[in-house]
Parts: sequence; C-alpha cells; structure tokens
Amino acid sequence: MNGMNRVFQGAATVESVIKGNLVEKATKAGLRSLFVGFETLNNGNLRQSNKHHNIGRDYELAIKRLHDNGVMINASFVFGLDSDNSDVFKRTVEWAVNNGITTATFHIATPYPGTKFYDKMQKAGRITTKNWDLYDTRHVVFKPKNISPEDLKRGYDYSYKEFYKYKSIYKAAMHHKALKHKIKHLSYTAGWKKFEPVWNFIIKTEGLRYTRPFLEAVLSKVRK
Amino acid sequence: MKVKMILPALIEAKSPLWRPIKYSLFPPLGLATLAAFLLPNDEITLVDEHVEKIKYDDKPDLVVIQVYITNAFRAYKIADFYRQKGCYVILGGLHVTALPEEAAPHADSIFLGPAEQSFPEFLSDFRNKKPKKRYISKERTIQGLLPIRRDLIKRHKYFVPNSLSVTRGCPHSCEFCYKDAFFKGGKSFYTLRVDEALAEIDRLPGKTSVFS
Repeated sequence: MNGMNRVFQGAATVESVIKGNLVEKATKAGLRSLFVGFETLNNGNLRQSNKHHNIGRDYELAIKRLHDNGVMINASFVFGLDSDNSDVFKRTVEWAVNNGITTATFHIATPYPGTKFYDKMQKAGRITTKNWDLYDTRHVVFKPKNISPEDLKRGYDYSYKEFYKYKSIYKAAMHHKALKHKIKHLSYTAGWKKFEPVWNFIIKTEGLRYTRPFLEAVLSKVRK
Repeated sequence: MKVKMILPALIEAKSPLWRPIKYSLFPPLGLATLAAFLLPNDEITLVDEHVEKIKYDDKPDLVVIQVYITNAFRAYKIADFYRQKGCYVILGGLHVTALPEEAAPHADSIFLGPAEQSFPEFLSDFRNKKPKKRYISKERTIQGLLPIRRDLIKRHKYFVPNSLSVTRGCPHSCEFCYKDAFFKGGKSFYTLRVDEALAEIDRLPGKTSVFS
C-alpha cells in the first residue's frame, strides 16, 4: 500500500504491535488509527478466556509504540469475566486515560451461543435469559462470579461516562508529547463522542457524505 | 430472477428518534460479497435496516437474510413474512451457524459457516429447482472471488463506506468469540492474496479506508 496515498484504520492484537516492525511498515502505508482488544487488565480473565496471547505482554509497551508512530488507539475492554470485582471499572478507565487511549469501547461480557464461554455458563446454570435482543454487550445476561449483575451494569455505564468526560479526554490528550497530536486526539475523541447528537442529526439528514472529508483531514494531517 | 438481500437491525437502531452513529459505520459487505455470485440479469435489492426502512410491497423469488444474535428475532419475523408470501427464504450468518435448529423453522434453506462456496452451490441447485435444506461450509477460500458488489451499497449512508476485510477468521481461539463456532469443520484463518487486496483497495474511491 506504500505509495498508494491512502490512510486507513485497522484492528490488531497487542502481540502483533509489539512483534517485529509491522507498526512502522503499516504507518508508512497510511495507518492512522488502530482497534486493539485489550479486553482486560486482569491476567486471570485472559487465562479464563483462552486469550493467552495477551498474557505477560506489556500493554503499555504496545501503546507507546503506537503513539510513537502517531497511531491513535481505539481500545476495547470487557467487564464481568470471573476475575472481575467491583473495582475493575475505575481501574480500567484510569488506566486507559493515563495511557492516552484516544477512544474506548466497553462491553459487558456476553456469552454468545456456540462459544465455549456460553457452554460453560450454561452448564453452570449461570445463563439468566435467552432473550437474544439483550445479548448486545450492554445488558447482563448471565450471573457474574465476583460482582452482582446490578453493579456490573452500573459500573459499565460509569465507565463510558467517566472515560468520555471532558476532563478525561483532556487528560488523555495531554499524555501525548507533541502538541499536534494533542490537538488531533482532542478533535477526534470530542468529535466522536461529545457531538453524538450532532452526528445523529447528520445521519438522519443523510449528510454523512459531507463529513467524510473532515475524517480524512483529522486522520491525515498529522505526520510523525 | 428477483433477489432481495436483507440485513435486519436491532430494535434500537430502527428507532426514528435515535440512531447511534455506530450503526451507520460499516456497510453490509457480507451480503454484497454474496451478491457477486448472482447473474448480471438478476434484479438485486440490498437493504440494510440499520440505515433504511424495509419496503414490504414486493414479492422477490429469493430472499437472503443475514442473522446475528441481536437481530435474530426480527430476522425470523421478516423471514416468516416473506415465506407466507410464497418467496423462497434463506438464512445464514453467525447466529444461524450457532443455533441452526432455532433458525431452520423460519427458512427454506439455512447456511452454516461462511458462504463464499456454499451460496454459489445453492444458486445452481435453486435454478435447477433442487435446493437442499441445509448448506454446510467445508472448503474455504476468499481467493479468486468476483469483486464485491459495492454498487449495491448506498455509500452516502455510511460513515466508513470504504471498509474492507482482507482476511476471514483469526489465528487465535478466545473463549468468548464466535470464531471457533463459525469456522467449525474447516479452515479458521485465511486471507486474500496481496495483489487481490491491493486491487480491492484500488477500487475504493476517496482516501480513507478501514480494515478488519
């Protein structure tokens, strides 16, 4: 893709970010933002999920590497796995803010039918509803182990609110050393979340086609 | 032949008052990928309920519905409606693969696993009036396919119309992920050839794209 004059976003694991020089090559080819499934800061949870490739890896090393290359991070986290208790929300959000994560998506652990996670929960009698409409990672559909379903839902709502508070956005942006990256981070995150009603209006009025150049501008202006 | 391809939406996304931006992010690439197997004289309508209303005043020969977990109940309703009209309805996707017995009563044929090979096989059976009840993915590749029918996608309705997927599956096996269930019985990680990926990028207008 080098020389094709494109910018792009993609998804990757922590492992692929740390290993070799893929990030440097991708940045040269136009990578500007990356979705990374951090999932959890708790090693016990990763082991439970068989997501071994994150265990013992240095999350912060991956973040530093991406930021050094000017790549924004969209981090994904899941709450409610068996090692999580009620302090997981604050810890996770603080970690994300302090590490300068640009945007974050939080999810309530959801055992999808067909997965090993579902089979385990089903066998243990921990599935509490089979209304698939609620399997959207925003509702608690199983009995968590070390936290009540109510606290899990509350903590999930808290995490979104807390992460996207202007204060947090500002603090995360200030994590970046160069001013140009700070401005980019602020405009990207603020544009994404804070103006959601505006986006919805634009979508409803089918104005999306007029906004795309802004996205391209935000993604392409900052060079390393 | 008249073909209608539908991606039903979550209840929330359909609400006229509130449509979160995340539902307008990505176009229905899966259905557009399968549309490439239809013939040039087939009349295709592709509807994504996340961004538009479904019109029910038609009577297609074939209705193709993509089912994931939160749109499943709605997908079954739409399927039942078109079957009552006498249309041939097929269902596929993550949820159908995970729970085929739940989906089967709502469909004339169901598809388990990725359909890049089984959908063309079905089309040939269907045109010969001998469709099977169930198509299970075995051989898998995304190399050498016809270009995705991006012309059927209403680009202006999406935030990132230039999304593309150059791989299927994943080399890992996380317990919460659908991957192992969806790719059961065959390869679970495979890719486009580099030249095919570059050709697809070249076909995208504009400058921004998103990979998955």
